[in-house]
Amino acid sequence: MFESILHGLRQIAGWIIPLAQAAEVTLALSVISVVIGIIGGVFIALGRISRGKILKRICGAYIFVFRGTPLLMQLFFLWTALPLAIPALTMQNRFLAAVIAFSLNSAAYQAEIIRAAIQSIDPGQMEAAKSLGLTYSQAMRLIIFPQSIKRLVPPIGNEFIMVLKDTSLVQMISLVDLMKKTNQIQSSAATALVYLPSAVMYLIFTGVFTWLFNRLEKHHARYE
Amino acid sequence: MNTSHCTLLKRVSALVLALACALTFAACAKTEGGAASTAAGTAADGGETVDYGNVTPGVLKIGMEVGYPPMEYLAEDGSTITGFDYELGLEVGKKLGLDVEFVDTAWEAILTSLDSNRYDVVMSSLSITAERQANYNITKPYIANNLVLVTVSGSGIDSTESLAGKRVATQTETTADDYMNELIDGGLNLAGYNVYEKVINCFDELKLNRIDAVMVDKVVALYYLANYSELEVVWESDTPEPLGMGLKKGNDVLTAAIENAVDELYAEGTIAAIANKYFGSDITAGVRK
Repeated sequence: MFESILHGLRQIAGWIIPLAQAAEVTLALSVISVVIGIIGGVFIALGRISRGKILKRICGAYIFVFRGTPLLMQLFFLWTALPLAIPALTMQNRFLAAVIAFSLNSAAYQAEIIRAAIQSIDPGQMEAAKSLGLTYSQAMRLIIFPQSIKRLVPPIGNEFIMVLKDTSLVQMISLVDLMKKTNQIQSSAATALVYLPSAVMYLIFTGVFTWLFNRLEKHHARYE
Repeated sequence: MNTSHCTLLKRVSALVLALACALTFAACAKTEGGAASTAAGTAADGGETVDYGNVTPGVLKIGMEVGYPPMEYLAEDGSTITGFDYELGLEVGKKLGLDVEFVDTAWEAILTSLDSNRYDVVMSSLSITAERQANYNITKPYIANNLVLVTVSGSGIDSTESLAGKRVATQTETTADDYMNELIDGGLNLAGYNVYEKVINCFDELKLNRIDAVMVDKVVALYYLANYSELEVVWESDTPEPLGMGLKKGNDVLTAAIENAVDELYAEGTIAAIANKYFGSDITAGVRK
């Protein structure tokens, strides 16, 4: 009994480094994609609530397409289907392709989060800002956005955790992330024990980021 | 304004509900159709079915990863299973007097699903290896096979040594994957080694010039070569790697019955006929000893 536990612990210790290396892909991909997604999301959200009819339509269509199809399909489309149709669009870097697909997808979700947060701010704020002589962009930057951040943080934290777990899809384009490495170790070591350290790693990542997002939320609560 | 909005909502809800009902009904109808098609495998004499301890009594459940042409794959309509293993499975079912049901399974879980009783036998281009024989009942070979390297014509690759500095792809958890890992452990320095869930992904990557060579079963390589004229086989392993069927360890009654059935089909020439249909030659000749 004691012997077998010791053996298990020794096995787990040997897996930590390969798992951690694969986790780099998981973490880097989620952080980069969510950050790019936020930036893209802001512009798409602003387009969605703008007065320009065409801009509004384009941004609406973007969200419709990227939220309405599976992320896996978008990833495959970008990596395989598109270059088979148009060879000039062949990418060689798997990680870059994953970042592009995840960012495009995340931007669509975050645009809706950001739009909801902006529209939840009392319209009186915009009217007051305008009556003080601020332009639309000044009012957005100085009055509306700072107030909406507190309402943005929880759903974006949620989105981040979703993306972190969705990154396991990248094994379909032969990128080795934490999940794929777990599978590989499982088959080479012929034991499912590897799920234990792997699950703990995912929980550590989501735990740390949940804590960070909570701090951020409290920090921005001072605008209330 | 408010009332008209409400009516619209009701109408949309009704439409959605109607659609859901229609879909459910269609799904039910389809299940019945599916059951009818499996009955095709019933023994012609219609006699009593023998109990081989099957997962589902009276049914031979066959596990396969559908996506490995020409061994097991979907016909062009995208829903009918076809292939060498499929036809052989139907014939084996007939011999045993059992209905046949095919269970599409992810390759990575194809053997472990035997242990969890998802099906009775794996007929899915399973290479016979010592490791698999240690953990499962593996039948005698039923088709010849070995590993080959496929590249785009004129690649300059002609051996496993010349793979140094090149990019190679295989399907994950296959004997090709194992073999590449052995070569890498033995000091072969690749520019990249990528594994994929489906073998078609490897060939797509080859066409897109993301990799230089695919290590794959010969039976599959021949199929893709016939479809893509720009590809060629540049190397073939010396050691034959024939394919067998896999059953749960200790499931000896069914294993013996299947061995018998395959022996009979082999002697009758049925297997040779199926091989000729899919490969244009009888690659099963002399493999069954």
